[in-house]
Amino acid sequence: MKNRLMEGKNAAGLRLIPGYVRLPSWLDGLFLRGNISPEAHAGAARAFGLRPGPEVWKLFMESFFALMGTLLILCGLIFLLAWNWENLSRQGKFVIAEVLFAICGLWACLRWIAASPASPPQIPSKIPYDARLALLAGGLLGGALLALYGQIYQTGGDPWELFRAWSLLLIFLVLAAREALLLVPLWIVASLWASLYFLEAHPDFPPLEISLVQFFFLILAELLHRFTSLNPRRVLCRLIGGAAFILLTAQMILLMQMGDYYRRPIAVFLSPDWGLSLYFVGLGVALFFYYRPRPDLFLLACPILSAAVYLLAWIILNIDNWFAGSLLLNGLLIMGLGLGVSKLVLHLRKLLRERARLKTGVAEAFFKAEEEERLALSRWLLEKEALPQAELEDFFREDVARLGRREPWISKIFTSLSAWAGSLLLFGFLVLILADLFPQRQFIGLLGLAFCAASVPLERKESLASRQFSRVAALCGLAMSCFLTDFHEQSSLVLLAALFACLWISRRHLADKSAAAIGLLVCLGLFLAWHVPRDTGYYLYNFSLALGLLFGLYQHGLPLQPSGRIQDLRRSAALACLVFFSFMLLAVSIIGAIGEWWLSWFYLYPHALSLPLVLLACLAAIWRGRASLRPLVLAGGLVFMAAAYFTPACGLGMALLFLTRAAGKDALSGLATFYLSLDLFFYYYNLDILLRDKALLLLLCGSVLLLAVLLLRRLVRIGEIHV
Amino acid sequence: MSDPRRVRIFIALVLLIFLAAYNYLILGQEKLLADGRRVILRLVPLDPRSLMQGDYMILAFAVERDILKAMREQDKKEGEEEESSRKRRGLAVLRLEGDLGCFVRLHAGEKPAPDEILLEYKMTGRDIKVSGGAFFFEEGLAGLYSQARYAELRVAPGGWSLIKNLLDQDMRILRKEEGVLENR
Repeated sequence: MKNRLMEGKNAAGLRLIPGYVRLPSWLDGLFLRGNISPEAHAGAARAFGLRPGPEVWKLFMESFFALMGTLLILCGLIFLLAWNWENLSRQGKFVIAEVLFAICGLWACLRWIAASPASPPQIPSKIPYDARLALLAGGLLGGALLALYGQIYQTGGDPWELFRAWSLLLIFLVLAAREALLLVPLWIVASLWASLYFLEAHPDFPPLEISLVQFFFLILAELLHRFTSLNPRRVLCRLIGGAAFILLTAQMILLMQMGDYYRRPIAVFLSPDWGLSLYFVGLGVALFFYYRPRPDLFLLACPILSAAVYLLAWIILNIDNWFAGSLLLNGLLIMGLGLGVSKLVLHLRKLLRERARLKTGVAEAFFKAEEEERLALSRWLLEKEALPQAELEDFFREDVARLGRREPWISKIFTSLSAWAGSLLLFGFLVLILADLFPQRQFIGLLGLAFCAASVPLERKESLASRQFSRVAALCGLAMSCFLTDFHEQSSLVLLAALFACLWISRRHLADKSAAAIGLLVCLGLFLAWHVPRDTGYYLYNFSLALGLLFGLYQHGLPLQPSGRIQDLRRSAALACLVFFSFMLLAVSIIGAIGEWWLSWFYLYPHALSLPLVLLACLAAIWRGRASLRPLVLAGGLVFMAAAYFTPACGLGMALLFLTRAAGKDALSGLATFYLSLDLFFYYYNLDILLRDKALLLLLCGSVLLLAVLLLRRLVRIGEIHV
Repeated sequence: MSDPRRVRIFIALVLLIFLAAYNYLILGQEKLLADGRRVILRLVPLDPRSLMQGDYMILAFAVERDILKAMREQDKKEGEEEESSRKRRGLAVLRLEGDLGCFVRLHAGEKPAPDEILLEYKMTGRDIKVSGGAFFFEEGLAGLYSQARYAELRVAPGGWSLIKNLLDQDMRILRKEEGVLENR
């Protein structure tokens, strides 16, 4: 709780964002219900610092450019080294790698000094961050050394042997330093070791062994937490648990789907019936453990989701006759299951929250902060005569009745994550259903345009339900209208019109008349992108989308974290990996179970993955009435659909990064960073130009960004920065 | 938390031991490259996609097919049905005609003849792999190395081998500087 509340105060006398616990949602709620005018909404957002001012933007751009510029220059140097790599002798290559390794080790050893004295003894000494980072780099470089050895001598060793040696190095380093930071790479490397080994030993049947290894790691992490001072972070346990349950679920579905062929290899120690029994017993044990002795909502949700996915796969596989609307039927099934699962998880969350409240003073701190915010908001609105007092009191009374008890930050994060993943994927799923029912793309596209058109008059209605429906219709319509056109076709003009209409619709919601101008900017960029050579168009396309989103965010005035600190990215990277890989694995298992291999990856991947999660998340989002997220969903959905359909991930990655940074969601910005890095990595890796040119390109871009930072600092002065 | 001074010593020890072991391995491989028996093996083309992949080349040796064939015959003779009963690693006996190695038989523990040499192989899935399966080279040299028809290996007495060079159809070493070097 403490971490959420920042120290500074803004002009309205309250904590700066993202410390607010309820204020942004109240403000959006008042606006969406028509209690306050767009002007009052915008004014309050500015007064409470919810809309970033130029100074916050300046800070954000500075830190973002500095980080990206440094990264690009570092990558450029690595590429430059790679360009000269073959001209180095074998010894030269080893010397470079070993010297880097030695520097990291030496740095860690020299700086491994407690920052605070060991007295009084109850205060734990703190090792400097750079020393820990150097040790981590040393551990990672150990792997690079082993890979270099394998590459230079081509010993023919199996990849798992490399990961085994690397794991041993990391294990000894963990034991020597008792450093929890090393546990994450150790888990990844050891998992790769086990996975590659089992893939080679049992190429037909690896998921069971790999999931058992993950459960072993999970038990080990819990034991380390319980009995040693080497306390793994909670997020690591969640990562391991998530991976274990996903793999186990995939395994159980395979077992069910493939019948005797896949049963045979494990029949040595496990009959299928026993396997199924043990699976459900294991789920029960996990539910008990993470409900009672070590409460954890995420790890409670994992077995519940696993059972739901298993049940879903069972039903789908037992539908004998496939017909045109079968995907719709599946959709309904998923909705039903999703509803049940979401209800159960929300109920568990409530129970856990109440138990936690009895133990700690979290609730008191939360209520105190909330009360402060309520008073400040009321005072401001009444002073400005934005609405009558009776109406305001009614609103807060309804709010209390609707929400019942207040939620701690963990459940807020959960809800936000759910809202994001759910809403974005739900729209993809809707399009899939329609594509199944009406395979002609032009028909879908025209239907989409009709949706867009229908949403315009609805937007003008006073009732909240109409406006919400109009936005959903606009988004679906927009997504579907993508079917009308192709990259270079003249009909792209139709899509541009749809885009423009959608942005015009959102104008009112954005509470700013310049939204239309932003729309025009995006449309112009997209128009140009479609009418220039393909490669240039690709960049322009992504750039336009990102630019449009950036300005959209600025206009909407979503809370923007002023800091672009590396720690934020670091903290979120691990969770990001979990989300990304979980989705991938779950997608593969579900697609495998349904047997829809014929659908292309690019089409199916973003849409069909983790469907139960989608519905769960979406329902949770709607349930909680997070009005503030709807424009994000609108914008995100637009980019998501367009980028997923036409291009690979770059536009999506950029958009996600800006959106999530703006929303102050660490975990999601980590995901976006990871996604973008991965995309850029593959793009540059496959780019058909010389390494030297790649290096120069990266160095140039990095220098431009650093120069931009310098200019921003020297030339742009925007008053005093209140952060 | 443990005493940071002791932890520093532990960290240094782990890293030093790792580096020492690493360099010991490097020395071993360098010794093999310098002193190992020179053996040339015929390459067989893989499918065109995997023959050339950017800056490295997937290699397949003719001897691998011979080994696999011999193993199947052996299985048939012994009435084995399951491929899983095969050993993961084994030795093949090659006869040297000059430096060119030709498969003779699978090694069954006997001492090889003077003109014979042992070569270690291993099973990867259902395939056989001899030495490293790939050869790395500088980007942009795919054209040069696509001429490769033979590979020069250095083989230790126990059968362990490393690839040293790729050779063209006239057994001349392929190298960047001169394009093709004369056979030595």
